Amino acid sequence: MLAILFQSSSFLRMFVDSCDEEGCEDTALNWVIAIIVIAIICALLMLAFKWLRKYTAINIVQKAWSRGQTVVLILVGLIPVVIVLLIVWYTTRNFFNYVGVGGLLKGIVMSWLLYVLFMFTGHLVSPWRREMI
Amino acid sequence: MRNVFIAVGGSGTKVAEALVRLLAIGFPTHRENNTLTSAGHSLQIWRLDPDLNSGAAVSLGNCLKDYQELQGLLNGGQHGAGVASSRWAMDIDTRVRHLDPLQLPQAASSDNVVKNLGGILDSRYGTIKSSLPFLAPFYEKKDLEVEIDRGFYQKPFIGAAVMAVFAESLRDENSPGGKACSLTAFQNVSTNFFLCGSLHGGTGACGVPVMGRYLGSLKRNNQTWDWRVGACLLTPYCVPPQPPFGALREGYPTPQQIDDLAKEHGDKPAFKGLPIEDKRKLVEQILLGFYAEPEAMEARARQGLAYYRDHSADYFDELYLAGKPEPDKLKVWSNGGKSQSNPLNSAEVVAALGALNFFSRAGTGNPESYVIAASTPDLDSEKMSLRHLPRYSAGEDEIEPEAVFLSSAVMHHLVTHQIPWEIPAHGWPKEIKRMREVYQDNENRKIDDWKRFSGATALLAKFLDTTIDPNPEHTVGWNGEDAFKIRPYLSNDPHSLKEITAKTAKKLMSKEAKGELELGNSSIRVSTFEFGDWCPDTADFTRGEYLRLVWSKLFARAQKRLRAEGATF
Repeated sequence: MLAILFQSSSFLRMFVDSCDEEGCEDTALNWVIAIIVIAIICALLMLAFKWLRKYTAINIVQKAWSRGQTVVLILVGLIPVVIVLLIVWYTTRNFFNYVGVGGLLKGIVMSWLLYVLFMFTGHLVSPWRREMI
Repeated sequence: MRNVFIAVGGSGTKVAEALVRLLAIGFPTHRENNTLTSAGHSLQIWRLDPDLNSGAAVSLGNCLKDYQELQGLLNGGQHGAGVASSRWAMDIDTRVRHLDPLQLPQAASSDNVVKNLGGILDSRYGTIKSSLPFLAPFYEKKDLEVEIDRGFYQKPFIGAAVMAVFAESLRDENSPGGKACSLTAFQNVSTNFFLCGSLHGGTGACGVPVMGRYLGSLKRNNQTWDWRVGACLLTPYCVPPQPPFGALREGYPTPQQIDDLAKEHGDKPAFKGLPIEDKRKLVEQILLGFYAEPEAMEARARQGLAYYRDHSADYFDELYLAGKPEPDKLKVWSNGGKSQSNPLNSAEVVAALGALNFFSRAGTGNPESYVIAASTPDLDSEKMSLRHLPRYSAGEDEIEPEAVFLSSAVMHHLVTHQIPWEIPAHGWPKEIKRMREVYQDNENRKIDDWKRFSGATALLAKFLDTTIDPNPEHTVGWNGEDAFKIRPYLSNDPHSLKEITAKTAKKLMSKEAKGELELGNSSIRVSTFEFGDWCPDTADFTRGEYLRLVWSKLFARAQKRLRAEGATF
């Protein structure tokens, strides 16, 4: 279902500014895949950072994370998402030429949403759910 | 177990204050459910002193107020009226029973009204003729006339007569003293009576043997009551300065002399705040020699000891002696009343430890023999440390005072700073799982406990600090090293917190702490992860129970870093 959604041209065209030339749908698909991968990697990195902080905590107070701290961690993770997306967008000729600035902004929003979703899921399936709920 | 501490005179009252402080700090008297504690036992304080409003009594009252507040913050909400009760420490009845030896039964309205020796021994009510001819060989006129409602001016020969009449009056439950004691409530109840007073003073020197003899004889006549009577006698441990002017060599002062001196010295601390008539009375007392004479203290103590040896020791199950080889010199002169507000002396803390040893029923050894325990030869009694205090026994356990202070201070730090109180309990990590389970469905209880723990630990910090603070306004006889070292544990200062947190941090692959928390010769190694495991077995524990459990675990971990220096009771 998700694959069908991704492959549907109307969905993919949302993420590119101009789709007049042949093969633009491939570029759009690559861009969406990049968005998803970056969101997953950033979420995993932020979860790993939290795990490391907790593992190396020297006392219980450091080990206990409040909901506020967790929210701050998630919000801080939005920054690398943007940076990595920008780098990937700027260094890939097709993304720069066809995705354009509009597609970049849409990609950032999409990536953020996915990143937040992965972070929440990561917390909910681990004992850290206590810190979120 | 019921305990009764009978504070006789000013020194006894100061020891009562020290005892309340030690109990508040966490000194145990027994082991209950594998936890060292004083909770579950009770204490009444009786105060035998004609000086009802002495500075020492005011200080004891303030200390009891703090104790009551501490216990109130730590209990589960249920306690009897006037009884400071929680599972943290001993229940203390905060209503001090003032036994005024001048409140004597009256055979007639004019009997025992005038508060001087003459007024009591020669009250001449009804058809009773003067008893002066019998008194004349023993007392001078001035001895019979001096007012004794502020003590006996370290003249046991005055106090002894009054105390003997008072002790006799206790046999009658309807007499003022009998009502205050209400000893019938103690019949057939296991009770430890512990008397404390100075050997060299006026009230203490005569009050302790008289009361001891009274209680001892009651005990002898009722062997099934399971009473124990003990006492701590304080030998000279502090000396007052000389009064502002000396006594007359002989005769009586003239009104002019009294007025001149009252005017000249009216602003001095002992006189300040007194009405002019009281100032004149005080001048007259000094001129007639009714004040504590430092030079005579040692001789009086020696006479007192001889008296105990010959007449009184047999009435006691145990007798403790506490004193100093070189008495501390007090700075402010006073002749009793509110102005006689001496700081807490380290010798008084030693005497209070004697009371704890007695209350724990540890005993001092063979009851048929003397036990001569002594401090170490290198002890500077003016500059003591906690490690110099004598150890005592609570059941099978030897209680090291320094380790008690350290355990309480570390407990203060752990409970205040190493529990993530700010975070909802359901979010607490697994390292504090048992406490999380208690609080996770009851966040309101957690918030309430947090607030009350904060209040209680603040009071505990006050008790810990002011008991050994070398500030002469608070205490005398401490070198200040322990106070200096204990303060970081009680502090919110970020630097201190960081330092202690680093020591309680766990090692990388184990729960064990990286460093040791130290005080003097004692140390405790505990990580916050180990501390997180500690929780009472049942969820409905009180705050006092939790603190006592933590304290007991910490005390069990306390180690001696160096060879012990203190003596043992």
